[in-house]
Amino acid sequence: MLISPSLARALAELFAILAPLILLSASLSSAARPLFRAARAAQLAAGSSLAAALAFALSALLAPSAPSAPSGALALSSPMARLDSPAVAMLVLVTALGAGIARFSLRYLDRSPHALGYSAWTLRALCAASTVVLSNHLALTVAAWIAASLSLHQLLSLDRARAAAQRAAHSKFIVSRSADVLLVLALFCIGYAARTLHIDALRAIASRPAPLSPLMHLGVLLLALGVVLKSAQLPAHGWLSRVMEAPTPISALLHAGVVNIGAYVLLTLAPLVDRSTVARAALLTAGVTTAVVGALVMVTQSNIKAQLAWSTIAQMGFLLAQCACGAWSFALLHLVAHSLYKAHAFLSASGVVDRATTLRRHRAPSATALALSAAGIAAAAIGPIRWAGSAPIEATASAIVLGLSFAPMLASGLSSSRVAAVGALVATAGLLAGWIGAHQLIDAPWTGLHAQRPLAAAVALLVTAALFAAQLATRRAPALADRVERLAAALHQLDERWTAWCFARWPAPSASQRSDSPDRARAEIEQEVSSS
Amino acid sequence: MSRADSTRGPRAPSAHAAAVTPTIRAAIDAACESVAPAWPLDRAVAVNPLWKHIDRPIEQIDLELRALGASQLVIDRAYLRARRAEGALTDRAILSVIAERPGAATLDSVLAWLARDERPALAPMTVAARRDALDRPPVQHSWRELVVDRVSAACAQHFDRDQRSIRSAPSPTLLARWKRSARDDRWLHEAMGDRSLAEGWSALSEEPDAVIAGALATLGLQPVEHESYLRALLFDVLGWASYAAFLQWDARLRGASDDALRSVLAIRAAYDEALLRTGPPALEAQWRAAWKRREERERFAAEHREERWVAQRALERSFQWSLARSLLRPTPTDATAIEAQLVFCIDVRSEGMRRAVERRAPSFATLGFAGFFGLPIAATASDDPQPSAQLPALLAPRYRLVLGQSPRGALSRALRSAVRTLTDAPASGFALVDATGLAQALSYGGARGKPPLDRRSFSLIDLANDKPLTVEQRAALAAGLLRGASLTGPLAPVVALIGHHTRCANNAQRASLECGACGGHSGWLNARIAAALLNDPEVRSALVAQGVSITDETIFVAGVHETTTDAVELDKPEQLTPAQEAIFQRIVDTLSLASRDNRRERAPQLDIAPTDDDVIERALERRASDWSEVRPEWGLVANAAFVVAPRAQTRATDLQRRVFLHEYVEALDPSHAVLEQIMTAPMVVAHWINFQYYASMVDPARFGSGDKTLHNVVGQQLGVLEGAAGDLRIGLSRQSLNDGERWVHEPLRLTVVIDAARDAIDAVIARHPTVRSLVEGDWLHLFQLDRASQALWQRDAGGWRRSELSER
Repeated sequence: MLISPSLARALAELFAILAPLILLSASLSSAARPLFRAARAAQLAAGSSLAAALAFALSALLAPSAPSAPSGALALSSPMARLDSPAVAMLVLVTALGAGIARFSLRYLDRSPHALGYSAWTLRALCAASTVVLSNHLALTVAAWIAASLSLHQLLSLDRARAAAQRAAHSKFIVSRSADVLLVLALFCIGYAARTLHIDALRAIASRPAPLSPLMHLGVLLLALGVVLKSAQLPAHGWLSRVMEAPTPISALLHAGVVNIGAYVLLTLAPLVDRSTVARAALLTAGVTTAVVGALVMVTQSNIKAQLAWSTIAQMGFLLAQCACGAWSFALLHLVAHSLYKAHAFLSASGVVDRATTLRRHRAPSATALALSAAGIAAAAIGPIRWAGSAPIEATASAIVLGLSFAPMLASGLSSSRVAAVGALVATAGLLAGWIGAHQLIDAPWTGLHAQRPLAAAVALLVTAALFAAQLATRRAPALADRVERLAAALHQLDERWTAWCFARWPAPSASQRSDSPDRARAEIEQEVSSS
Repeated sequence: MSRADSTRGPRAPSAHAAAVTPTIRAAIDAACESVAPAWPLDRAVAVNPLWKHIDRPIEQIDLELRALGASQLVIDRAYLRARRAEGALTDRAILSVIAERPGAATLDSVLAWLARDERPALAPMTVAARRDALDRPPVQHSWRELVVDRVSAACAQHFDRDQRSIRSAPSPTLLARWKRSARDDRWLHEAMGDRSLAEGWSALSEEPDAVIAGALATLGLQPVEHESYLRALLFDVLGWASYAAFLQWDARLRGASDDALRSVLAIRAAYDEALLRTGPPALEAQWRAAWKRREERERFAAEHREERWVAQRALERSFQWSLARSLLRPTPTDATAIEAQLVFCIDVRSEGMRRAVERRAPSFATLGFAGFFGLPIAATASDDPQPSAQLPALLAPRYRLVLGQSPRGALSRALRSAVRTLTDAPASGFALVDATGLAQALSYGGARGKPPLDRRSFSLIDLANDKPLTVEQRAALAAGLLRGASLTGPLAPVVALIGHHTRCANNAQRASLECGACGGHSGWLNARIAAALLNDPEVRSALVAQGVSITDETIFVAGVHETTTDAVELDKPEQLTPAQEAIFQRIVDTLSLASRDNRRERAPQLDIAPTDDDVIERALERRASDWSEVRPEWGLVANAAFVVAPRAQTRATDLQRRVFLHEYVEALDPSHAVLEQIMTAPMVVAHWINFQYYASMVDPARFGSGDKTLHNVVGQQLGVLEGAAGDLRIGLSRQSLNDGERWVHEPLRLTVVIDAARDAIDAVIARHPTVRSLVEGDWLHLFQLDRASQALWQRDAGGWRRSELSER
């Protein structure tokens, strides 16, 4: 045999480590045509990650005896780095998204005065995110995570003359630094309790039957709270809905990349989180509340980017709820799928005008049509889900979730024209296939992840059913819709109070002289006018 | 003393019982009438944002706006200095302008003014701006920003019909809607320093006028100041005010009315009133003092007025000299028989194509005519979401174009429409993401192929009686087209009617690149219908009665010029005689060569090395389909003139795609009816486009839409915000005017040159007050081309005079 499993594994590790190194070195050189260089470096890093993924898959194929790779530690550069299948998937995601966004920026930010800073800090943010993905040491994870957040801060505040951008970046800065304090405290607690910060070691400790110490519980709880803050969960959601003051690709990077890091860090510590009931309860509460409230507030927003931001807030809630349930494989799927979905949604946000003029808006379906469609979809879905290997109760819950989720589309299509009906039927079939296929893919043994699926299915059903009921109720009773709007307004008020409180103690750096509102300068001229 | 003076206490609840007197109502009417409409993105035609100000001369409006702290209409000195360094603003041009003006400017004073730095403008005459100089709200915003954000949010929530899927019961008026949300805005009340504002605002009248009158009373303004103050307020929220003005314009075209604009004004006034009542003690004194210093402000605003406008005119003069050189060149007469006539839109982008066609085929004639081909239609299709008005925004559609179902792409459209339903449903997002997210990875390529031309069946319905058009009506349309385009002379065997459209992806401001004469849509449909009308034997025989004859030797073909890639597509008619067939083929070949020439000519401006035609074509193709492209093409950038003359007058010269060209042969128009039509419609549209570019560049914060990479679409098509909040942004983005390093546009007022008798031009001016205002208020420069004496005559407020342009 030409290639041995260990050689394949060594190659995978080499290529994986190469990715952040490429990004870092490219971010340090300041040459002409920065956007072009950034796009090429991101592409190279993505290529390296793909090579790592291929080699990793090869090594798994060649060594069928250990399919789930119990320890992910790298032989090559242990103890600081580890490579398991979720890490490989995430590395490919981060670098490929980075490459996509950098390529988009090539034309989008052509000759922007901020091109140099944009390129350097994007590469640094990507490098930091890939470091989090590969880290086997919790201190390194946290350090790289903070570095990613600081790089993002630079990106958000690139335009020093734009006061709104400076303010938005600053309000994110405050929340992020508060989260950092929690994370560092968590590091101390966990390190003191376990006498190690190596992720592999921590995972091993968690799989022993001995109960976790109270200090360890506290550490995991602090970590979870840090994740809650950094994932824009209620009530610390405000910063995410305000950072659209930077060019669109930066929003894409934030919403598809950096905001997900928290969930991924939980995933690397899955065994530990699974055993910390307090942390799970905190995550579940924040997640479910945010998912429901966020999804409702989303559809009260009148501009596209605010809608996308609230969508992210809700999706992060759903993701954290999945983590809390211990549905780690579903969480990984949702993380990857949401990243790809949301970055695309941001980048193509301006196309909403063309979509509004070319795509047809269907009539709102009747309640009967909705109920029948939901039942029909659920009935059609349950067979394949069972066949894919789910337990009956869980399959039923999932099928109902799919029924409720896709019923508005099928029902409105069926109650419109014939073409619309055919389109809706085909779309429903496609979405069902996509959903089941994706879950099948992520549930394969290669991921090495387990999922406590019944609980996750129950939570998904709870969230979906609550939102579906709200959706129906608000359509029937405008007074309820008014309530939802007032809820959105109240959240906005809360956020404003909090921002005012923070800014009073910790002011944002003021924008440079080429300000959007040169009111003071004008007032001085005014004095001059009156004295002359 | 106004009554507010005696009743005002530092924390007095608002007293809103002020009566709406006729003078106050008149001031409100006048302020609201001063806002020009801004069309939604899906039909965003270019418009002069100061259209409702043209009744007074531009220099006076500039002065008034500067004194109000609202805006200003001359480009900043840094730009002028750069142009001088490039040699475009010469001493000679400055001297030539000074010679024509009665003012006191001299070359030295202009140059001295030019060398000094720009001074900050005066602060707006609103309470918000005054209070900003005294204290700041606790979030590092200015009061002005806080207030504008709130007006903007209320407008977005009220006007949006598409983006939100959970909506409370619609409020009857914007004001009522705002009152509901303002009541809950406790944080702002506390920030302003008065918790009782909630009750005060709940007690406000539902009548916009009453709210405004209450505010005016509290602010203690004299009746003569009312209108100025209200205009300053509207300029503070100009974007939404302009959108509300569009609703009003649209309602009036339909014979209805809409008073959302008064609500916008009332809301903005209510905030100013609250800011004054809750402000620091010094505020009120300063506010009163600011109005008392009106004369000082006006004097400050008028400083260097002569120098500023001399510099602006000198820039225009340099361009006019080069235009005059081209126009006054003796034109070679062409004796060859005309094989084909190609009618293009007057759009400046047609000029390059026409020049290339004529160079390639001397036996072809090209003509310029408004690209909607005179068809006042709104198109609806059985599977289109909404009708699209395919005509200039000045006109109301008279006929409805009903399109059949499109056979191609129907299913894919139904699929995408279906999935779109789910993005509106809060419960569906989680499963939708899981189901589609992974597949989304494939869509990052982004490029979409060229869509096929719309060849659906169609019929025309009269909106007045809902019946198909009679032969007479269709013949009248056809006759209007032929007369308007000066096509009543001998016709060539093949006449091509070529509309234009753009191709670009992911572009919220696509309409600004489309055909303005077609209401910001593609001109293809209009060209196709016009050709079908003119080929219809019934129409042709009815035309004879109207004194126009089209023989069987002539056939009309429809085509469309894609301005991004310069590809021209022609519809091949089914029955062509062998002679026509040969000519048609020659047209196709010529157009393909002309496209190549024009692409090569445009390449440097688009940063493409003009080396290899294939490279250029691929680069343009990429621009047309690339979802990340912020400058797919340059649109009507650098437009500067409108020439109404026979093509022979301009045929020999390169006008660098800066000139709108309208065919006009005075000999064919003895009654000057066509001239009147041209001066009242296409000339106004050209002015709108020209002044949209002008205003977007001279005051980008007010009349431009800022950085395109921050654009955030509101209500799916209402307009864009720049970033997360702030006012609705109107006008063109910076990317549409500037290539990142230098300005590609040059802010010049439109130079109009008409080849017709001066009396005839004067007669039109006398009959149409708007045309008179444009000409005499210097909103454009009007010249007459006197072919007999090879001279240009200029018409302005002082009447006709032989222009100095002729002497060179």
